[in-house]
Amino acid sequence: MTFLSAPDQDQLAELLNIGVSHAGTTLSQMVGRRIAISVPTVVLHEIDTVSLFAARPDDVTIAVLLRLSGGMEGYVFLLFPHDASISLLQTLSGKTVADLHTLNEFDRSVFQEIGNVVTGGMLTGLSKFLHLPLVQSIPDVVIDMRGAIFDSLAASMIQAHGKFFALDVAICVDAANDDVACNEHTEAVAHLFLFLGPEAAKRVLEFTHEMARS
Amino acid sequence: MSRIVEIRIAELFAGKSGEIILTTGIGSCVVIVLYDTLQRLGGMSHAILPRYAPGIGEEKETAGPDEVGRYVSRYADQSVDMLVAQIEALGGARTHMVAKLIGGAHMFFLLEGADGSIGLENILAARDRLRSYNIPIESEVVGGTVGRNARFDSTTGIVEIVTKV
Repeated sequence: MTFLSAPDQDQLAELLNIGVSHAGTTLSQMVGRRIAISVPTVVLHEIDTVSLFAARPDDVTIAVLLRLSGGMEGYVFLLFPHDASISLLQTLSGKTVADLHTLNEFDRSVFQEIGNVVTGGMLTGLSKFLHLPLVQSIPDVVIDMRGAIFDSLAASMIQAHGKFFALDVAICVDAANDDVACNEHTEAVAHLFLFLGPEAAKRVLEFTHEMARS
Repeated sequence: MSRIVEIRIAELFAGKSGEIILTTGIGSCVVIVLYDTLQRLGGMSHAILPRYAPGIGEEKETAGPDEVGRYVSRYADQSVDMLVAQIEALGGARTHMVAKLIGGAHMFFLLEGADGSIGLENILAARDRLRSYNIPIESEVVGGTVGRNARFDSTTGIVEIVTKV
């Protein structure tokens, strides 16, 4: 079930795009080459345990998790599919790896930093929009099967809230001359999920409706 | 030829001999397998939370069966009750049952702190309920930091576990 009307989705996507474009600038400065990040789609889902069952649960992926606190409690969760992770790592660090299980501490820290920068950019935008202070924790990186990662996240959220909402944000990274860009024909490089309890989700919806009307 | 039934998060299924029951993406959830060694039949559940607590998720605590025969059951303690009842309805007996537990991992430090409370609680809740039925736990592959997939053969009672590390 989705809760955002088309104008609401446009409004939120525009807002998050402003945030993550700053993140792209920061990443560009970090790696010394042009990196552009954009948000093509935003969808808000109410999650029950069955719909959470992710597509391709056996796929090994990289997950970066950050806890959200301050004016709103929740989690920010970035999911990098297998092939996109390898491509992204090569773009950002120049390193070629064949498999995600061979990643060392430095490689993991690259994804921690992507999580930090992208989440920071998005939260800055969201914080201004909602008029709430939002603080992010240090990122936690896990490499494992997609299904098991969602399983653990769902257990924590359902234990805390009974049901919860996920803001699903597709992320594209466009680095000149490298094949990590995405457009309408290719899969997003990463998905960012903002997991919120019912109260926090209601607040985001109310502000979004208000903005779309004005 | 064996029928293959896949259960998802918060589902359970019990079947006669000749059925393969599998589930993927076991993180902090606990998967409970009950097997009647005499009748050679059994079932599997994929429970997301440890104990039924009135007021939380009451509307979806249990449901089913669906067209395949799967039931919804979120809690480890209720899942043991339902599996025992369903296996007995198929002709099994609790006195001949053995249990196997899989899962209860602690994947994210941020989610659960240092002690891995949900995964651990899930394992403890399943063990407690099984003890109340005097059903012995024949084997466990639980805890740790890694996700798992599990495949149960209701004819042989064998559980195969896959990790990707």
